[in-house]
Amino acid sequence: MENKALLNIGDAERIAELAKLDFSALDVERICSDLNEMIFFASRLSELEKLEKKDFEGSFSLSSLREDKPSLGISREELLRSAESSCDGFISVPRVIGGESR
Amino acid sequence: MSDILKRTLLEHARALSAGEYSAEELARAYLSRIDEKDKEIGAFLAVAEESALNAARASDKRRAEGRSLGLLDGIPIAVKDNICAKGIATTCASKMLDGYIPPYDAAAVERLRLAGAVILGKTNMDEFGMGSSCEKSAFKLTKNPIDTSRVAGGSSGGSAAAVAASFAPCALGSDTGGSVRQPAAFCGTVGMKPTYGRVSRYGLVAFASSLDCIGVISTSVADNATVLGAISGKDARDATSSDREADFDNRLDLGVSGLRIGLPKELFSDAVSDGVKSAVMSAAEIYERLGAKVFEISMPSLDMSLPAYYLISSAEASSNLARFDGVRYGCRAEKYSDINELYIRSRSEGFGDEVKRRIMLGTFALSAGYYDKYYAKAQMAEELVRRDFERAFGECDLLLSPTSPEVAFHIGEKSGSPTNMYASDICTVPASIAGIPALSLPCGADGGMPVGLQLMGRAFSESTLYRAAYALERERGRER
Repeated sequence: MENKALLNIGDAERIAELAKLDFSALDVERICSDLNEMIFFASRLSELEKLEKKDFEGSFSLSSLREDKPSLGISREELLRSAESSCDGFISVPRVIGGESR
Repeated sequence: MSDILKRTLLEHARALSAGEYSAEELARAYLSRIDEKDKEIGAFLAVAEESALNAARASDKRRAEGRSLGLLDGIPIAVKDNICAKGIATTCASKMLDGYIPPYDAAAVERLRLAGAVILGKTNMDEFGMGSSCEKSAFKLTKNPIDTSRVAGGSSGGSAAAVAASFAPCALGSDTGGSVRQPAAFCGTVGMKPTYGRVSRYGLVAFASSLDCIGVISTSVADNATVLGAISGKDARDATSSDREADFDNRLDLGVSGLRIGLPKELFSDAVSDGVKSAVMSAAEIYERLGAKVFEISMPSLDMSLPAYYLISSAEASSNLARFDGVRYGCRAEKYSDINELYIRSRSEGFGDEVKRRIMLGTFALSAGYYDKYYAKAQMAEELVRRDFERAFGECDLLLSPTSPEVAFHIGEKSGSPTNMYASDICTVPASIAGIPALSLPCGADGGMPVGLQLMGRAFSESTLYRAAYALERERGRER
């Protein structure tokens, strides 16, 4: 099967934006090439073109959910120990809506 | 003392019970060996010397007072670094979690501690479980103890190498697409991926939640069954965990007479090396001699397992790893102007190349315009594979195949192309996407390197796998 590139650099940059990742110009070229190689690798699944979701009715079921019962968890103090920066019992992050960070 | 480090876990348990040595002496012996030899191998990321010795002393005190907790009391065990152990750094071999100390134990670690086991430390792995060689760790390379120019396998390479190098009699790993079985095969050890849901995933850092399983790597089949029994069971904190009985180690010597063992021809293709095929077929002949019925079967959908696995696991990984954003834990970038840049820079600096590749593939597969063609089709392929296994288990009690198409390859040999590395998962991935148990055990050698044989069974049939593995192990003599 011929390996025809599906994605271009612009596509790779759009996917990176969705994935919250940043690549240098050189790296985005490399990741685009890797992605195309991986997509070609997965192209065997095109044999399933003729099948539709209705052919698998009931197959993709959710696992059972447990009852939503509150219980004691890990303390706020212990959880905050892992955070880079905290203040008054909360984790600090840059201001989300405009202005400078605290 | 160093001779005893080649003993099995159960031999240690008997020796501790007989007072031949203490748990503290045993822990010190393993710690000393790690200190002496791990510079060459690179199996451990963190050695928990102080807490291990405290746990060993507590075990000795219990035993002296007649309150021993059972077979695992005082037994040293290593734990893969994506399984949380309270107070011990858990990094998933990633800069993203460098320095992260979990405030809780994973359910599997909890159960080991309740049984009195001594946690020696955390083992190296491919970053976030994404890799098949242990070359993708952000911190170090783990070498194969049998030939240090070769890889230990992945992603549980550190755990497999630790057991093979006598740094621990047993280790926990995790298996999403073969990450317990393949390194176990490469390092000449026994590795079990149980049925999905056997062992709670609470405290296992998620890679692909519908596929991740905590598994056991050991030097013997009986050891493996003992430890799996200890860590299995229903856990309210993991909705996918099962309450099926986990009594694996009391029927090991039932033999294989009358068992029907199928050889899926799709897993014996030209991709499998001649040396591996020969070793595996010799083992199949042993099973025939022992009274099993061995025959070839066909499972045509298995050819779609590998692409389906990589799309599904990457899609799930892209979702699971979205939590690593520099906010609540882990790596946070130093320079950023707003919250979005905090996320992007933290993630770009924290993740390695392979993790980024998988996140990108997963994001692509789930994105508008591509979802139906890739992710939805991968789900269909997964269902076809499950149905193929169901049909196969109508004719067979077990399926037998190579664990890996080749023996451990040389370090750097497959670094050039990502899909070159992915191809080494061809034999292990089908059992992962079907959710069934699969075990690897040594069955011979090729060019001096161990060959692993894989046994697969119906869901929750671990007892049958152990029984068959025990029969082969006894017939061939334990590898070490």
